[in-house]
Parts: sequence; structure tokens; C-alpha cells
Amino acid sequence: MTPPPPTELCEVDSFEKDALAHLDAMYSVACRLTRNPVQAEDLVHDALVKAMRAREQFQPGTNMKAWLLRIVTTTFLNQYKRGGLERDVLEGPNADPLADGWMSSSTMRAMRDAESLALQPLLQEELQAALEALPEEFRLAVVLSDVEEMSYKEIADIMGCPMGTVMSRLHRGRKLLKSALYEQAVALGIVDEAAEAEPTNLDEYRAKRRLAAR
Amino acid sequence: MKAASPLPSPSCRFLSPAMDTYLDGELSPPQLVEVETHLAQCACCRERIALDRALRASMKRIPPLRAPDSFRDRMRAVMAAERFLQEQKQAPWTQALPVRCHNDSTNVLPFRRPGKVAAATQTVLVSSEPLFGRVVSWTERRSRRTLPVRYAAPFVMAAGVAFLVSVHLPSPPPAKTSTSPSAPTSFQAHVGLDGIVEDLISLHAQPLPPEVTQPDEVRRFDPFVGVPVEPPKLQRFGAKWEGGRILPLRNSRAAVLQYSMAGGHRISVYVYDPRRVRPESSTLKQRVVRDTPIYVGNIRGYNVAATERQGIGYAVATDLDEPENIELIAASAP
Repeated sequence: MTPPPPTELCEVDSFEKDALAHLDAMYSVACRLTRNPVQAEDLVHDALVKAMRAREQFQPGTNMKAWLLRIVTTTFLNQYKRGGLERDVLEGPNADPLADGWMSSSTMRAMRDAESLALQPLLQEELQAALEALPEEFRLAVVLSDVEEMSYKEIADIMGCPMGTVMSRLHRGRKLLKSALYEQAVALGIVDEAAEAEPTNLDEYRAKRRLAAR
Repeated sequence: MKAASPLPSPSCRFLSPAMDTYLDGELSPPQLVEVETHLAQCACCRERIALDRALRASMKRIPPLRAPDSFRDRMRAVMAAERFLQEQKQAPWTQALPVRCHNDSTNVLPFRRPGKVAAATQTVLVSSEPLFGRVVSWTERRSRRTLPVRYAAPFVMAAGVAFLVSVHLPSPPPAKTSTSPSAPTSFQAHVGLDGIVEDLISLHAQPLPPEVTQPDEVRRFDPFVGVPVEPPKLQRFGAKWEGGRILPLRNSRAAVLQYSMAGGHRISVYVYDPRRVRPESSTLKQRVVRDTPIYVGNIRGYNVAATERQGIGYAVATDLDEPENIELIAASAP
């Protein structure tokens, strides 16, 4: 006996079609998180299977990209959780490596100008390297904000944390990025380290002033 | 010696986190006024904003990462397979085909002619029937041959759907005596070797391009297949490595390793998880070669051999002779 043939056969349903439309974003974020294309593919694979199993929980009309990226993120954090790492970064001695005002205006201008000159491709690579070197939660926040161009609210949804945490992660992540690029700018001779003298922070400055006042 | 660059005032330090938020465009209006007032007075912070803006522009220039096409195809298959599994779990298997249709998705579908697809499905339904002693008629075989290669993936999926439906239909004709009657649930958990072989032959007859071309890369298939995948060394048979890909099966996946030989012969080696497959077969004959049971047979003109070694299932499909096939399967299952 022959079973009745289906009238039509479709391979992809609308949920899957919508999810596939965000595959590049998922893959891109997964690559930045894992820093390895093979692991990124595994991560997206796992996330998509989870998404398929939880598809009833997705409310049509809400932000699917954020929903999928949240699954990617939680899957990553659950799989690769590195316990105390972030705590060390947030609270360790290097918690505030780039004191505000550490760079002089001229340094900042030099770094910025280099952007528009011949060194641009080089800095581009350095920027990628600096991004990859960020601790993962900072990296995720910066990637979601500056590469994927998502709002604070969306990032908070994806990372499962309050907006205030998003803001502080972004702030610290970008500061670390700038610090890495500064070192690069010095190494490339874009910025003259001697002219910058020693890294100065406000406390040192005040201490010096006190000394000078005596 | 340092050209006097004004050190940040306490208000700079205080407003520093707000500068980020300012650039992100997420400040509330009162905050915005406060920050802009400060910026108007403070050259240092203006410089900082300019640098941060340049940095952000650079980040946006980082070339976007695109998922490779082969990966996209694989994910499409993974999701379809997952949906299929779920529908199998939820819906009693007596229901109609678990196929959901969305006409608006035509631009994603690799096929655009429903008539042709229906024909393909029909053909698979019939050609998977050897289990029930059916013979594939000439017209059906011909329509099958004319299907372009790009239909092969949906085709294999369709084969999966059709196979389960044909197995689950309540009243198949009394099949060969060798198919022992077992509870329908066991059909869901385990597919017969015949069903797997059908899929393998379909892919061998109408091969898809390989997803990987480096022999080392097939190790990436391990988690998808569930067993270690190692490309067999068939060079001594004059076989040339072509590449490998994942083949979605009904309830699992197999790795397909493709080789070519002089004279236009092709060899497809399949590595699968044998725990998902019932070994008994109605179309393949069991033979014992070097103390190992090997199933051999000729299906639709292709010689097939299948065996299991150390918990890994191997199958070979070729247009070579049976003894050569047995040599190949013996070499593939070390």
C-alpha cells in the first residue's frame, strides 16, 4: 500500500526561516565569544537546537535576534564558565588600569589622527586583537553594542543582567580597549611615550601637589 | 617638560562613565544637558569624545563575520531534523505527514516547483518499499534520476519522513518473514539497517558537494555523528579523497566520506552510530568475513556493504563488484 502523498512538502517553517536570517549575527557573536570558528559553529549548533526545543517560549513579534543571541550567550557561559576570572578583573589590582585623564589631549589626538592615516589597517588588526583579549563579559558587551549595534535594553536582555551592569561592562571594556590601543600606539611610534611622562592619575597628581606645596 | 595638558577635573572623572552613554545615545535629556554643558567647557573631554567616536567607527569597520554557506545548510538541516523529532514525539504517529507548510517561505526553499517535489516524495515512498517487498517501477526510477542534485537534501529529508510513515502505517502488507514484528515505539527509537541503506544509496546516487575537503576536518563531525569519524585510508585501492559531509538520518546523522577512483568510479563511506540502528535486514545478506559479520547487497544497481567495528557503524556504497566492496569495508573498519 502506498501512503497518501503530501500535497506539498516544505523543508523550512517560518520559525526556522526567521532564525536562519539571524545566523550571521549568531555566528559572529559566537566567533567573538569563542575566538575560534570551529567552536563557534558548535556553539551556534547547540544554541539552535535549544532554540528549537524552546520555540514555544518565543513570543512572535518580539525581538528574535535578541532572543537567539541570549541563547547563544547563556549556552556559552554555561559551557565555558570560568569561575573567578571576571571577579579578578573587576576587583583585582588591575581593576582600573586606565585612570581617567591618563592620556593627554595630544595623545588622544595623535591616536585619533592615526585612524585616518596610513596606519589604519594596522590599527584595525590591533583593534581586533585587543577586542579578543578582553575578558569575555566585557567583550560580549562591547561586541553587542559596537559591532552588532544593539541598545542597552537589548544587551541587558541578552546578557541577563540589569542595564547598569551593561553600562559598567561597556565602560570598562572600552577602557581596556583604549588602554591596549594606547600601548599599540606607543609601540608604533604614533604617540611619544616620553612626552606623556609617567602615567599620572589624580591621586598621584594630588600627592605631587601636596609635596610641592611644602 | 610635559606640555600642560590640563588634568581632568573631578567633574571629568565623575562624568566619565556618562561619556560612553552619551556616545551610545542612551542619556536621558537632563543628563544630556549636563554632559553637553561640561563638554562645552572641557577640551580634554571633547578630545576624549573624539577619540571614543573614532574608536567606535573603527569597530564598525571590522568586517562582519558571515556564517559559511555549508554551515548554514547544515543548520537548516539540523533545525528541520529537530522539528521532525519533536513532532514525532508530540503527535501520535498515526497522524498525517508531520509537515508544516508555509507558502511564504518559497524564497528560502531550495525548490520552487511543488509538483516536482511531490513527485520526488512519491518516488521515495515507493522506493523505500523494498522492506515490504515492493519493486520500483521504471517510470518512478526515471523520474528519480532526472531530479537535479540540488533537490537531494530535501529529498533525503523526504525519504526520512516517508520511511517513518510507511513503517508506521497500521496495515502494511505482510512483509518478508525476516522482519520481526515489534512495537511501533521501537521503530521510533531504532531504524532498520535497510532504511539507513536507502538514505545512503540516495546520497551516493545523487551526491551533494562535500562540506569539508581536508581529511583532518572530518573530526569536526564527531559531535554531530556521535562516534569518532576517521577517514579510512583507501589510497592503496587507488581511491582519491574528495571530501566529507554530514548526512541527516531519521533519528541521527552520519558522516559521508567521498572518494573517487580511476574510471569514474565513486566510493561513499558512511560512518554512523550503530546504537540507533537495528542490525537485522531484509534486503542485505549477512556474510562473515574474517570473523566479522558484514551485510552486503545490491540496491538500485549499487553494491552496498555494512559492518560494525568497536561500536562504530561503517557502510560503503560503490558501483564496484561485491568482493571489492568487501575489501573496502574491511579496510574502512580497521
